[in-house]
Amino acid sequence: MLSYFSTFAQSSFGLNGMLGISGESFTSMNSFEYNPSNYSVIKDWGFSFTYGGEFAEKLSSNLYQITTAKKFKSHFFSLRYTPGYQKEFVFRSATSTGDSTNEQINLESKYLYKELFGFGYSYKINKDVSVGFNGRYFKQDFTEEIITAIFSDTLYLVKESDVDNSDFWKFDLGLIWQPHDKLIFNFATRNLLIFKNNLENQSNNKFEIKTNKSIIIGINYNPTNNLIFNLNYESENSFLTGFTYLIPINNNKIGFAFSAFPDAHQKPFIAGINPAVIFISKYFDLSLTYIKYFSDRTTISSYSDFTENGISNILHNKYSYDKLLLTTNFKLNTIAEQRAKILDIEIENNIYPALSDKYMDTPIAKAKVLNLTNEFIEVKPLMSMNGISSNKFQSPIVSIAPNDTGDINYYLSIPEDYSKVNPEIVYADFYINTVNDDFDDEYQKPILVNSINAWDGNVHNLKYFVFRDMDFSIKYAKAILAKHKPEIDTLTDATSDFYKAKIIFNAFIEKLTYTSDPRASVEYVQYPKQTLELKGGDCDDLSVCYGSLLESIGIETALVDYKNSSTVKHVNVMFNTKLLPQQAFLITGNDTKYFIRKNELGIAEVWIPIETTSLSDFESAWILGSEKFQTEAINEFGLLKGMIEIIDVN
Amino acid sequence: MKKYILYILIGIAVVYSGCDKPSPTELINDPHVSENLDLEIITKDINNEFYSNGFDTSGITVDIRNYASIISVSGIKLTRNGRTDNISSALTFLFDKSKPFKYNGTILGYNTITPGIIKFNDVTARLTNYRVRYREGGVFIDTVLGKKYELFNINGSLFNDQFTFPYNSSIAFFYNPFIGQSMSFDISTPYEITGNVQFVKTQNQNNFNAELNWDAGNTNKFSIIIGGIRTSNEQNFPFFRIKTRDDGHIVIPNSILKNIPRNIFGKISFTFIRKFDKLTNLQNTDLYVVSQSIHTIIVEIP
Amino acid sequence: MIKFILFFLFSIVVGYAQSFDVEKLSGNVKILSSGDETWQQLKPKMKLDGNTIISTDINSSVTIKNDRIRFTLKESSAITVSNLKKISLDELLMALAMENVLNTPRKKGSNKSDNTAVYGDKISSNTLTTLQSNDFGVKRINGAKQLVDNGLKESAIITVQEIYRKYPTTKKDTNTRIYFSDILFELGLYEEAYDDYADISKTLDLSNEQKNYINEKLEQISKKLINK
Repeated sequence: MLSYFSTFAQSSFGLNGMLGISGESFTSMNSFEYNPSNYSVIKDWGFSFTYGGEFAEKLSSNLYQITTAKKFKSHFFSLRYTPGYQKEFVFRSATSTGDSTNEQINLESKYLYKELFGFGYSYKINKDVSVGFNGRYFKQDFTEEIITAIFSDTLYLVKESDVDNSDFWKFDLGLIWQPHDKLIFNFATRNLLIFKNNLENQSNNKFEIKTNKSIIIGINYNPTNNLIFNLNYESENSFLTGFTYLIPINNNKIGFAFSAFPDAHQKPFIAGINPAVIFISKYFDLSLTYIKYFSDRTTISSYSDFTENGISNILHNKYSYDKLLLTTNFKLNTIAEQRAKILDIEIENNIYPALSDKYMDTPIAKAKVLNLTNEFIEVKPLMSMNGISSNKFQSPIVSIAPNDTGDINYYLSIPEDYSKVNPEIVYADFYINTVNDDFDDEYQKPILVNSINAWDGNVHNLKYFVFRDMDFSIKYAKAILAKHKPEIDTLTDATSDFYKAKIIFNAFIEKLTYTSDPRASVEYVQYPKQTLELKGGDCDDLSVCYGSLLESIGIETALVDYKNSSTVKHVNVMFNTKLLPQQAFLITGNDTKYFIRKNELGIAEVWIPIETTSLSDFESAWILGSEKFQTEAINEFGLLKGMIEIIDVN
Repeated sequence: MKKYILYILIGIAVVYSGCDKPSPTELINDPHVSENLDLEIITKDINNEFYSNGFDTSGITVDIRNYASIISVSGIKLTRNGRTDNISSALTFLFDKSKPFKYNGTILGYNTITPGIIKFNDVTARLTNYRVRYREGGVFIDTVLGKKYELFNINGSLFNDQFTFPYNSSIAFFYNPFIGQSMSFDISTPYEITGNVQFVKTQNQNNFNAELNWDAGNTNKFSIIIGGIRTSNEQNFPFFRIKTRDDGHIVIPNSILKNIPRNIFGKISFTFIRKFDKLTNLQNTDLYVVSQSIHTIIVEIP
Repeated sequence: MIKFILFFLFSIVVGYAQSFDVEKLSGNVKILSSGDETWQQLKPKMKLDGNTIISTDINSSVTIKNDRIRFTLKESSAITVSNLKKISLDELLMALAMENVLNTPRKKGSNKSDNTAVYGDKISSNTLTTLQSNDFGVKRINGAKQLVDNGLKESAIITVQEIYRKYPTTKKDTNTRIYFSDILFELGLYEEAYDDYADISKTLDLSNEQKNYINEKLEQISKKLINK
C-alpha cells in the first residue's frame, strides 16, 4: 500500500550514483539535476550515456540520456538529450450505455510527461567561482478518451480522443564556490523561470508537473583524496546525502558511492538509497547505479491521489520504480594536458628598443616554471609583444626534472626596422610550451616600450647606440678619410689609428654644436646618424657618434662613464691607439696624456681619452679628456671607487 | 582519437538497440469512488414524439410496462424561467396483463383495472384516465387504456388534492379492495433534493461543461436525466440517464451536450432523482413501489 | 681583499695635490704643464699644478714646497707634481688594488671579438726601438726614489707602478725592482712585497748575490706571514 505523501521529491537527484559536486567527471556531465550551475571539470570534450532498466511489473530497459559537453577556455557548454526521462500514467474508465445492448464502452486516459532535452552553460570566473545556468525542455501530453453523444436521426454514443498538451522551458541558475581545495559549496535555484504553453482544457491543469520554486544548497567535502562527502539541502525540506570512496589503481580509480535521500514529504524518512560502483580512468568513466525506493512501488496507484498531488519530477517521484543504471562518460581531450606551470615571473617592465642587442643576451623576463609531470620535460619559452612584432620570439629550450622547478629565460628580439619615436605600453604575452602547439601556461603583462632614442642611463647600454646605423657611420668615416688620403698615406703603421682618429674627430667636430638633452625625464640618446644630421648633441650623443665613427674604421673605443654623483653625469670616449707604451712618444711627449690598458692577450696598449664635448679640435679634446681622466680616475682613485668606469663598446 | 570516436559510436549503437518505453503507472479509482460515467440512452429516436415509457413530469421514470402494478410517490420540484414549482404526486397503476395494447406489434401498454379504493396518508386517490399517445400516419392519437389512481398538488394549492409529499419521512398506503382483505403499509421517502446547474466554459474554446451540484444524500439510487425541451411543443424529451454516486457533484462533459440539435431543442433539462424503490406483492401480483425526490431544472442551452 | 678595501673607500679623504711654489732652483730644470707638448724652463716663482711634470738635467735640482710638503728633486730625475702627496697605508693598499684593476687584461665582448687576429699582426709589425722614451722612464724612476728620500714612501710605490706601466723597460731593472720591493717590505706590506720579490726572481736574470738576497727576503716574509 502506498503511503500518502506529497511529491516534492529531491530535484537534485541524478542517475550517476556519485552525486554532489567534485572534481570527477560524473559531477560535470549529464546532470542538470544536481549540477544546475553546469559546473565543469571536463577539459575539452565530454560524452555521456546512461542506459538502464526499470523494475516495474516487467523489466523495461531504456536509454536515459546522451550528453555532449565542450569546454572553451573558461566557457563550458553541454547539451543533453533525454529520451528516457519520461513517465506515463494510464487511467482506465468505462461508460455503460443503458440501452438494449447494455454494453460498456471502455475509456483510457493517458498522462505522459517527458523531458526531451536541455542545455547548460557555465563560466568559470576564477579558480574558485563558477556560475552557470541550464534550460530544459519538457513536454506534457494528456490524452483522454471521452464519450460523445451524436444526435442524428438516432441518438448514439461514440468514443473520441481528447488530446491536450503543453510544453515548457525551465531555466535555473547555479553557482559553485570552492573556498578551499577540500570544500565546494553549490547554490542553485529550482524552477526559477518557466515559460510554457497553456493547456487547452483548464480541467487538465491539475495534471501538470508541479513547479514550485525553491533553492538548493549543497556542501561537498573531501577530507582525503579518496573520500568525498556531499549533502544537498532543498528549501522544501528534502535532503540528499552521500559519500564516494575511490581507490586509485594504477592511473585509474575504482570506488563506490552511496547516497540516501530523506525526503520531508515522503515516507519512510529515508525514501530510498542509491548505491553505485564506479570506475574512473583517463578516457572514460563507468558507474553502475542502483536506485532503491523503500516504499512499495506497484504499477497501480490511486487516481484521486494523482489528480490531487500530481508529480513535480519526471524521473524521481513517488511513482518511480527501482532502477539499475549504467552510465558511461567519455572524456576526449584534444587539448593537451597542462604539463608545466608558471609559478612566478620576473619581468623587466621598461624596454629600450635601442638596446635590442642587449635583449638578445639578457633576458627581459625570468620565469620559474614547475614541471607538473613525472617525467623530464623540455620547456620551450615563447613570447609575443604586440606593437614590437607580430611574431612570437622563441627563447632557448630548458629541460626540467620531474616535479621540479626550472628557470626559464625570455629573450626579446627587436626588429631592425623598429623606429617608433614615442613610447607606448604594449602587452607582452609569455608562454610556455612543452609537447605540442598548445600552451601549457601563459602570462600577460603590460610593458613600457620606450622611444627608439630612449636610454636607461646605464652607460654600458650606450654601446648599443654606437652600433646602430653602422653602415652610415662607415660611409661617413670613410668619406672623411678619403678626403685626407694623401696625409694618411704618409703615416707609419704604428700611428695610423691615432691620426685617423684625429682626422675624423676634427672633421666631424667642425660641424657640430653642443646641445643639452631635449628631454628631461627620460634620457634621450641620438643615434650617430641623427647627431650628424641634427649637427649637435649632448655628451652621450657626441660620445656615441664619435665612438661609432671610430669603431666603423676598426678603432677600438671605450666609453668613460663619470658617475660622480655631485655633478651631472658625464660620458666621454677613450680609444686604443694600438701603440705599445714604448711607442707613446710617437704621439706625445707628455706621459700624463695617455693610459696603458692591456688587451685580452695581456699586451699593454696606449689609450687616450677624448672629451668629445670640447668641440674645438682634437688636441684640446685630448688634453681635456686626459686631464679629467688623470685627475678623477687615477689621482682620486675614481676607477677603484667605481665612480668612473671604462666600458668597451665592443 | 578516431579509435575513441568509434568506441562511442559502437556504444551508442548498442545502447539504442534495446529501448523500451518505461512502464506506465496504472491509475485506478479508489474502491469507494466511482467516477465511471454510467450513461444510458433513454430514447434513441429523437424524432419519435410518441413515448410510452412513462416518463413525464409526474416523475415516473421507469418503464411501467414491466410490472403488474406500480405505486409511485414523488416530491417534485420544477425549476424553469427562474421559478420553482413544488409538486406532490402519488400514483397507482394496476394492470391487467392479459390485455395488452399493441400498435404495429409493439406493446404500448396494458389496460388498467380499479378493483378498490386507494388512500395515501388518508387521502383517497382519484381515478383519472390513463392515456397513451402514438402516431399513426403523421397524426397523434390518444388512447385511454383505463383509469389510474392519482393524487396531485402543485405548490400546496387548495384547489388540488390535499396531498403534500413528505420528504425524509413516510407515506401511509392504504388499499381496500372491493373483494378481499384491505391492506396497508408505509412508503418511506427520500431526502429532498435541490440541484443546481452551471455551464462552465472551457478554456480556449466555445465549449462548455455542465457542472451539476446537489445536496448530497449518499443514497444508493441516484440518477440524473438529461433531456431536451422541444421548441415545438414545450415537451420534455429525455436523452440520457446518468447513474452516479449521490455525492453532490458531477461534470457533464461538453462531448455529451455539444451535439444537441438546437433547432429542435431550445432548452435542456436536468432532472435529479433520488429514489427508494422496492418490489413487493399485491394480491399475488408483483407490485413495484417507488418513492422519489425529484428536481428538474430547465435551462437555456448556452 | 679588494672588496674589503672598497668597504672603506668612502671614508677615505684623498689629499688633493695642492699647487707648489719653487723654493730653490739650480741648473737646468724644465716643466711640462698639463696637456702640453713643449717643455718650458722652470723659473722661480712659478706655480706648479698637479698634472705638471718636473724634469731635472744632470747637476740640476729643484726644491718645491707647499704648506704640507717640501720636496727636493735631484739631478736626472722627473716627477709629476700630483705624485707629491702624503697618503696613508690604507690609501696605498687601495691604490695597489687599482693597479690590479688597470693591469688586468680587458675581456672582449663575447659575441664580437672579430679583430683579435688583426691585433697580432699589428704588434708584430711594430718594431720600433724605444730608447728615447726609456731615458725619460729612468728619470721617472729616479724621481720616484726621491719620493722615498723625502718620506713619501707610499706615494713612491704608487708612482713607480705607473712608471712600470708606461715605461715597461724600467720594470726590467733588477736593482730598481728590489729597491721598491724593499720599500713594500719596510711599509709592512709583506704579501705585496712577497709577490713583488717572487715576480723579480721569476721574470728577471739575477746575480747570485741578488738571488740570495731575494730568497732571504722571501724567507723572512714567509716567517712573518706564518707568525701573523
